Amino acid sequence: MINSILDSLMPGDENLGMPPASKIDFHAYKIKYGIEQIVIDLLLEITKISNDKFLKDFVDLNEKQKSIILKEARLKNMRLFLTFLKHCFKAYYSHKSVLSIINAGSSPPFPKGNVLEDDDWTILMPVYERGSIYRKFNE
Amino acid sequence: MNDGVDVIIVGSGASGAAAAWSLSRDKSLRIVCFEQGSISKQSEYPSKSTDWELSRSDKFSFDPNVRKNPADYPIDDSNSPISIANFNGFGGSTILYSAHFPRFHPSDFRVKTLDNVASDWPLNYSDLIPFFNENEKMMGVAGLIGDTANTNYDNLLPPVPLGEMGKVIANSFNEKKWHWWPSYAAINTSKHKDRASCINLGPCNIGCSQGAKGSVDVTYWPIARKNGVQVITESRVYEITLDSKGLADGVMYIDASGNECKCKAKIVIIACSGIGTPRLLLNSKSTAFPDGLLNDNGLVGRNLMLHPLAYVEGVFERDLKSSIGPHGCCILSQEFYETRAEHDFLRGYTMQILRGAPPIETAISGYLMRQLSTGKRHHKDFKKLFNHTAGIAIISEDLPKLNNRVELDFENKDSCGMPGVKVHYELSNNTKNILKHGINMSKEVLSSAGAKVTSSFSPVRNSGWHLMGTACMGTNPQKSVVNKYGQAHQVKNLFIVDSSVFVTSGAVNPVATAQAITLFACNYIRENIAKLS
Repeated sequence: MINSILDSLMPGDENLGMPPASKIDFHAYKIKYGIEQIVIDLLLEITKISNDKFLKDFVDLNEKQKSIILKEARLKNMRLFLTFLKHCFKAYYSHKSVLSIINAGSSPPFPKGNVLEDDDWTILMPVYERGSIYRKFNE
Repeated sequence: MNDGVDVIIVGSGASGAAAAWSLSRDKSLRIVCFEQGSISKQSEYPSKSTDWELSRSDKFSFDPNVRKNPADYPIDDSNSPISIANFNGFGGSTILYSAHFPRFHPSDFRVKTLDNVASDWPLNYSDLIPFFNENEKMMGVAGLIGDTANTNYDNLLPPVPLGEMGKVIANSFNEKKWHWWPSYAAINTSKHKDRASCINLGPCNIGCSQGAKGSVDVTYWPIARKNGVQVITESRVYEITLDSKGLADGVMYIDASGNECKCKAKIVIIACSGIGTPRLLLNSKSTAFPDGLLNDNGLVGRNLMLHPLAYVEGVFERDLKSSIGPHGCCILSQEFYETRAEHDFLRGYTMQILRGAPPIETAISGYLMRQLSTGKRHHKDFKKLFNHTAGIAIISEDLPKLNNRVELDFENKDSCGMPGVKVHYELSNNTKNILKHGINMSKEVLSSAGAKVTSSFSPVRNSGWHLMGTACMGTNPQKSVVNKYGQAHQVKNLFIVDSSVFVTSGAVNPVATAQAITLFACNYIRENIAKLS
């Protein structure tokens, strides 16, 4: 069920080459950052809303229904939903493969760093031409 | 150390390190520095791992109440719209700072004479020039000589690269005919003093694993320790003691094993920050100073200045690779630094142009600001934001107010039983007007650069890095705590050398000026050591 929720929040995008969130090892993240209880609470909440509203488990719903349930979960317990969503973003956007696809620059451990091209300081000509602007006075 | 040492320095951060180095050039002095935190290893900084952004809400958070390291002390900042940021460890807050390194302006030391606000400092900008120069050489400061809004610098490394985003914003400033300049940053843009050069990794403020950022653990400290300064870490000084003549005779501290110890000294130097220094003074009560050491005039902990910040963010249609490069440092503008007749405020502000947010921050803030959705549109939304944003931080001059203050918090104590601190702070109308103006001008710059302004707010809560004014210097012992050398008016062998002694705040990051003042004070101590001890 957790994978189904992850993919509803962050489905893949083939055109952009982005994997769905379920392809990231969220289980390992969950253990590393000790958020098991948050995940359990969210699963319980979503299961309840899903069964109350559509008499089905979340995984058995179609995409539109899933979207409705997630919106309702957000409204019902904003704090829990946002906490979970932030963890989804953190897990996803700290994954090496994702960082590589989004052009986040040299990925840690940063063997080479990032190159920024040399600057042409004639860009400062208008500032120079205006002359000194700092406040002069007799100390 | 039962026989005592010549000099005790409390705190190993920006000012403590500069003091240690300066005094250690006199090889005859026995110098000990006490640091309540431990030594961070460069090789273990989180920037070496892909989940480095997560450490900012954990062990490397700049908020001590989030970080909760054993060295941290409780700070109740619920009575302040700005929360306190710091780092308690060897190297102090320089471990986590962004390394902005501008100097105060000459006018900052003469605000009473020039603008009839606050007080003039008991020293001039020109008194500090040799020490600014010396400090910049030691720290390794990147920048560009010839800044039309500043006096000239002697020692600068090549400036931090602008990047595509920096160029776009710079051109916008040019269009408006406003001042801008590459940031002054304590970042090695080329190899300097055996330290590697910056490779534009980005996350400077979780510790620089490259060692290119000028945090004092890699600048001043290696030389000071080589010169014989002893650093005692994980040891918390909780009291400065006085002898029967009213002179400082040492400190009481809890060592790493939890033992209460005393270390005697001929001179004591405090460098614990604008929060830590008044905390230590207020906790050092005696018959002579029942309300806290040097607090006979009630000024210790008062006049806290925090540099309230405003923030404006814009999104560009074009991918400007804006997240690449040292995060905090790109360019600055001091177009509105000085008082102008047409403004509804006195003094002014600096605009700092910051790099774009890293990936996780982009996703979370994008979602909270309703610019990024979940579901099918998520990745398209993310692509429109990431590397497309630029931020402008407005640093306002913060004029001193007696009611803005630090007090001991006896209900919340640190791991050694020493009281924490309560912070009481509110923004003045002058500051609010400065921030409002700064937001409007920043919006103009971003719009003129072609960005859509997506958020603007003030004050930024998590921005209380600049802790100033809580043991201010002056010539009148009734109206100040120390003289221009940081020497306590009432205890001649006790010195304060951090930004607690600032009379006013300027409108730039304080570390360069704090360290110059430290070197100025230590020069005086070295020249007068016989009289002082």
